[in-house]
Amino acid sequence: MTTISAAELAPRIDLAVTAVEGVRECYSARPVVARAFEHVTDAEGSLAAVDETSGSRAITVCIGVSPDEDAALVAATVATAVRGAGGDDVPSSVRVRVARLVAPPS
Amino acid sequence: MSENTDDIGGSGYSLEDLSAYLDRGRLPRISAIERNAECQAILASMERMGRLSREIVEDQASEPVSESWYDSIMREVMREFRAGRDIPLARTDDGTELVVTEGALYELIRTVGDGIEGVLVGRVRLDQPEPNAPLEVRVTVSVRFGRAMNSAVDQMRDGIRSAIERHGDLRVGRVDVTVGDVHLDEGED
Repeated sequence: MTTISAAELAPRIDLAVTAVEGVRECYSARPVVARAFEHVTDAEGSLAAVDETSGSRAITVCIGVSPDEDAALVAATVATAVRGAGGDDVPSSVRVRVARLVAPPS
Repeated sequence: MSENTDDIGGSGYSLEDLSAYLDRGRLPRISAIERNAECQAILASMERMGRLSREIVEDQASEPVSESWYDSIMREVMREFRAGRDIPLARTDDGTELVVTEGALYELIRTVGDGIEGVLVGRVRLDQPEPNAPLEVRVTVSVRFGRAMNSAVDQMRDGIRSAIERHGDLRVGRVDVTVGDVHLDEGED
């Protein structure tokens, strides 16, 4: 199976996360420095943070859910979607950060 | 954008910048704000506070809520969103980490207060004495003149508990609600 790069994977993850039912908003999970660079260069990169080291990946995504949802259930579904977005066998640790529990409908 | 020491969530924008952005109808779209969770929460708080402030009388003789209450509460909201601790939402078998930010819980607690008639939320404090221990919540509220305080406090306490505990493994221990102020609504004597 072909391994894809972090830069290729991040936008796929963004799409997969956005498609999960119960996810109202997606936010940048990238480090502050990366966000500051994007801001200065007026670029709009991916929202997911994907770090590759020694043949494994650490993936972080940041979401907002509505008050009517169980955030844990939505986050678990998001984690499954994130793992499925890779389509390869690279071991990945996944962190889903719920940053808003009262996000409005998008 | 201001050169600021007030940077919200690493966005490069301050509270004043966000206020101006809201006044402009969030146009033109600023990606660094729209993709930032803390900025989104602050903007939502500003909108809520704007609605509430219009409902409160401005020139009551007793002036139970100070003129600067909007600013002071927004500063408080900003401080809360900077409390960036992540709290585990649920355990998983495969090592996946599911967490909620402290800021998200602060916003949730404030929203509970916004939904209770005659209550304005002032200060919110959230504490977890030990990892995985139940959350302890302390809230200061202002209650509208004439509103039964006991009932308002009970509604607030029950609302906070049920709003938080609907999410995964989150559990709430002590909830202290203090009535620190009384306010009057528009049209009241």
